Amino acid sequence: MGRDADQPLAVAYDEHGQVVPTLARLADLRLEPPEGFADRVVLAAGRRSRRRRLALTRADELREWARRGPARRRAVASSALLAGAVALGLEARHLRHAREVNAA
Amino acid sequence: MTSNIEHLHRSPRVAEPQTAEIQRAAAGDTDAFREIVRRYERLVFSVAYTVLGDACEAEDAAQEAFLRLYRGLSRYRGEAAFGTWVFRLAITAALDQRRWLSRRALVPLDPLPATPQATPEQRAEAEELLAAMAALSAALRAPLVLREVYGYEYAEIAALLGKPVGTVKAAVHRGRATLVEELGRRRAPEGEGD
Repeated sequence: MGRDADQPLAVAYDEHGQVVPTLARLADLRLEPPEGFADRVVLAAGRRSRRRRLALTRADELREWARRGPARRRAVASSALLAGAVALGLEARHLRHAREVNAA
Repeated sequence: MTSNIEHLHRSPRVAEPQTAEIQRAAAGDTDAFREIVRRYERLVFSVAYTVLGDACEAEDAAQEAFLRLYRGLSRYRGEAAFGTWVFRLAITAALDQRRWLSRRALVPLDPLPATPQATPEQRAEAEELLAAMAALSAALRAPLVLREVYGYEYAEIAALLGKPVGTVKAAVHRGRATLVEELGRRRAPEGEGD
């Protein structure tokens, strides 16, 4: 890709043939990012922000769980089991009642 | 957010956003954040491209820089100029992307992205220079770009790259020599140097 010596040079050289800081011209170079770049960034920021909030919420829940001592954890677990059993019992009673009504 | 590199080196000039705009973006105002991205997108993308030499990789690095900015907005207290912070995020995101890539030289497959603010001569210069820089390995390109394009001190480059100062100086020296050789080869009349 030969070029004429008269054409402008992208860089200059010092007396030792070294590239000298005309490379700094690249600092002023402005390249156009791909179409829609800003919108993609905003979308990605929203997604990352939601993931981060979710992770923080879960971390808070775990921290709270760990903060409660073994006795409180057992109490909470027992309460949850009791609540589940009551819900199942109520559901079974409702189904039995519905069957009786249907049969009648 | 504080850093040892508080000055702007040779980073391009971009008008700073209003404090209120920064605060709105920090509070989650999407439109304000989009305005900040639009204000700095050319700068950040150009820095990433100059460090990486590839448009796709530069886009990824630029996006990462803005995501870091978004995350850090609420902690921005204005110790450094906003543009200084954005510039540094662009540099570090590009360097992180470079670390993620292999140490091979990237050969850009696409032409140089559009340069809306450059004259045809400036664009031709940049094209020639960036094409020649594709001959540099990533290990030589990053130190050379930081030193010669953006005017970083050797010690700053060493800190950014996690390398000893002597290694950085040697890389810059070898990068210059390689670039001079490559430009000479490209400028040689047809048939010479083959």
